[in-house]
Amino acid sequence: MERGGGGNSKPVSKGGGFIGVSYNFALAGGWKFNTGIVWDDEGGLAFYYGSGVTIGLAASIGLEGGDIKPTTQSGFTVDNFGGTSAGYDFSMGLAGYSNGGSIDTGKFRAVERMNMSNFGDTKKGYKTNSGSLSKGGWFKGRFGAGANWNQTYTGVLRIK
Amino acid sequence: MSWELSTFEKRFFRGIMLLLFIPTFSYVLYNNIFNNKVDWSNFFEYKKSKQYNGFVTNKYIDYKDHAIEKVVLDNNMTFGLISTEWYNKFDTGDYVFKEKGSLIIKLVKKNTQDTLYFDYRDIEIKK
Repeated sequence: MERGGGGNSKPVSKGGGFIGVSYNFALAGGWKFNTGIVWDDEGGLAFYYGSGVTIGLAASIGLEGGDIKPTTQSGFTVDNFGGTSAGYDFSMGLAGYSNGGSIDTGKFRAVERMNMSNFGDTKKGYKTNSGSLSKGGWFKGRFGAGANWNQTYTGVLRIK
Repeated sequence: MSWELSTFEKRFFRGIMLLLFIPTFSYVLYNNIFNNKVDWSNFFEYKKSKQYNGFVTNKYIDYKDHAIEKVVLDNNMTFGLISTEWYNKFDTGDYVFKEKGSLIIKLVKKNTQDTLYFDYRDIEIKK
């Protein structure tokens, strides 16, 4: 049998990172917006801008930044950041933590998109881990904590 | 933007927050530490359920969908590839065959009649 594409023994280390600003609001349901710069280990650089829906209880605006790890043997490039992703956001006081990844909306129903095992389960998939510094508003400033799940669509404009 | 909440409202939101924050954060923390692997079983089952065949009429990179390389067949069916290495092997006029229940795409090259095999299981990183 002649294999058309390579196997999966190729070592993968190509990842990336991102830094930007985000606005997150959820009162049962809500929305999220973010924008910033994303890069990859091959020297790629791009603007990203995202918007989406949230479920939970949170409200914050601030800085975000984190690392990106590919889940497939093809590695990560900034172009892979464009598309639909899902994740969880937490905030406690000024500090926040997020965990997410690419998600296939054609394959998964809403509840399955909340399953962390399905994050990154896409062709050219990736997972993200990020932190944030934010100023709470609304009830978050009074209660000091927030937690929400989000699904966002991200666009990418490659710079180099 | 803020407004004053009554004592009842504060207690209500605190209760909701405790019910929401602690289980959700515990779930994410547990998965991040002890179960940080992608479950590819759903991906493979989904691919097994698909069936298509036809001649390649177009191929493109879908920048609105994670820059996944996609192939269009003459019956307007579109499917995604898992790597650029695969993408480079597909050309217009080649014949594609994918059986239901299989994870393998067969590609018959137009010029040489050689058959190439592409296995979706190659997407997974083996350590």
